[in-house]
Amino acid sequence: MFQGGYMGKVLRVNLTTKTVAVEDLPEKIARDYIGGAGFGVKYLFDEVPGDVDPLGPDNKLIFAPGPLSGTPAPCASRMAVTTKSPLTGAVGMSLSGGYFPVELKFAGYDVLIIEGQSETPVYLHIKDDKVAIKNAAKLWGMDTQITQTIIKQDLNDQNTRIACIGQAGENQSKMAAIINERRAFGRKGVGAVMGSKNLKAIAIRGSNKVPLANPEAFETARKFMLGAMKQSPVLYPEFSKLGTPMVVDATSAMGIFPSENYRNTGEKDYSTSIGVEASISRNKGNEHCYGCPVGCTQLKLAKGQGYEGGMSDPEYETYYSLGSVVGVESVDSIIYNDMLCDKYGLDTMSVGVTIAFAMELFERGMLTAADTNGLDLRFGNHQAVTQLIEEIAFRREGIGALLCDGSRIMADKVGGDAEYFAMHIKGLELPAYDPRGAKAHGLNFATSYTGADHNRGYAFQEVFGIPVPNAYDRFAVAGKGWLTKWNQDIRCATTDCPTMCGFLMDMAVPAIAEQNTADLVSSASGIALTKEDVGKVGERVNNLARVFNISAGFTRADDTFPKRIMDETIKEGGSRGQRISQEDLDLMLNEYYEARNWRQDGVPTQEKLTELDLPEAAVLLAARGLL
Amino acid sequence: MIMVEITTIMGLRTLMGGEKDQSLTLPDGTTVADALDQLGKIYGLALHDRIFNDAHQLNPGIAVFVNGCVIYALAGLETELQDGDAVLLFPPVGGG
Repeated sequence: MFQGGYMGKVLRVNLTTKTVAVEDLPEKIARDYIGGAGFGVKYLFDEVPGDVDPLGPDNKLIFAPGPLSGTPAPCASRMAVTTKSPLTGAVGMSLSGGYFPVELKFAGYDVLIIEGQSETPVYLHIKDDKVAIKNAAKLWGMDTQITQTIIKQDLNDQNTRIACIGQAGENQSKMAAIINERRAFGRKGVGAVMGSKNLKAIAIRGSNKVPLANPEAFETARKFMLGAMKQSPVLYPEFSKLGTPMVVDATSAMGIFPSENYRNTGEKDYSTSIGVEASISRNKGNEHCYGCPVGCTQLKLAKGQGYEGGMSDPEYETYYSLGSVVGVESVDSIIYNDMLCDKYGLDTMSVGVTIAFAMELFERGMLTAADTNGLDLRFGNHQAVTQLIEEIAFRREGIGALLCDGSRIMADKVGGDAEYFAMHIKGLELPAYDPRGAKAHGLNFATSYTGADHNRGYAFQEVFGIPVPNAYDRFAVAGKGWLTKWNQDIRCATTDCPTMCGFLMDMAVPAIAEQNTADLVSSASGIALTKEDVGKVGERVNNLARVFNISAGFTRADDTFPKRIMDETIKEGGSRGQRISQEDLDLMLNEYYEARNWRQDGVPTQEKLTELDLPEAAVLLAARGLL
Repeated sequence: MIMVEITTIMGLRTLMGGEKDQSLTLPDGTTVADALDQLGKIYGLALHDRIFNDAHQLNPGIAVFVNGCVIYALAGLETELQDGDAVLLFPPVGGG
């Protein structure tokens, strides 16, 4: 049926009944959703009710690479995993690169759907059309690195690609990640869902090639993109040599690198202690994802302060979450603690921000040594961060149990005024950009279908000053609703669905991203897509995800910011004087909903759903009396 | 005369004597282009050529902000600077 790009098959594994089924991938789904996040949101919407218990047997884990994954398209190494998030209760979608994602394509599948719940620990072994559910009793309790080593030994196949959970996923921490090699499907507690299913790992080995419908046209599109990458002012040598840690210096200079639980963003310059200059001195080389000529991942070895031997590859976000937001100025502790999070299978971002929340409560006397198992939780205590990561991973009684399900649940447990200091949106902890100094970037956090998620609509216009499609004053409110819709739709359509590394869109082809995607996907798959079709896919996915979230109970009131962001003004630095008032938020939200042709209560209109060919979403809203 | 605060990071900082922040005293009516030219005179061609192309436009990826606002959202290189303005000069940066 498909001429290329797609393998044409959906693999469905039920862990309750221990059954395996292979289905055809409908061409309409491929055309309307492209792949990756699009497939994830579509199958989630069709198969998982919005009110399902995220950690119960009726939730599903949907793994989906895209039509470019496994082809020679540059930087198309990625895969989305989609589920109902136990951390947020909304769509939980997380992407990872590396080598595991393309292996699913090589095994012959475009989608892997895990459903049900095993009574005992198992792992899944996929070797082309041979699919086995194997006993994982002996693996239970092992960390992510040992798990991968043991499975490779047991299968007698060192080239098997593995995604697995560590102890955090087993203990169903709502901040648990799924780790593949050293990369992570990090956010939204996807590892807890895997743990709830007693699924320790997925091991894949494939022997197929991804066919190309029109190899000549594909080669032309591929060469064009490689040429654009070479012309990029950022990719070579800067990004290849420095990776995402360079952003610490940029956001620090702009006054949007958050510190100490956002209470003093801009007041202390963390770039001097944990900026690119400090971290590059720990470099031991870089790593590449499948098919990526850039290799932005910077492998670092800790040097001192008791962290010798710690080796990891912290990204920009981790310099914030295990650094500035917890008041830590030690690069070595960041490297070591990043390694620990990978080992136990934890999202560094949610973990760090939740620890920052606990530190603020401790300094304010809202938590005492009796609550913290005697730990001194003052900002800057990196040894305490190390200890807390272990407490969280093992859900240990006391402080571990208090923190391990993230900031929102912790705020509920502490009660009183604690919520004021909890830096999350829809339950997802904030990424490393103070929204007060980058309003569209912030509005994306407030409206993204996954909660406070920078990757669903990155405002490179504000953070890097790139004037595409237009130049924007990052402090201004007007125009940010429209811009946020543009960023969310284009990001979804050109990176999350095909699937392609998001950095490439910003740095190589920002002005022509939709055409670039249309050319690559059309020539790979034989499905003729225009750039307008591609843009529509982004809009369709964002609308369908919105309706899923409405069915999960979310409303306009959830499209908001933590109270601190709205009540307090940044006092120092490059964003001094900035805040987001309720009036600012209302103006931006009104404009955003208008740009999306949604009602002012945040519900998509019949007209929009008809335009996007989403009758299933209209039926759901009508049944709730919302259309 | 006006005094403006210039801040830069990473590679550009190296080309500007290693200082992250510095003050420049400039004539009234100075534009962003004038201020960057002045920096080129102080620190030499290596800096000038890193900032400007042959057509005296900003090289790709170089971003300039005045008081936090990218100059493309103002009057570009012709943006007139005022006393006390903060100018932030970025080399190509991306990722995150």
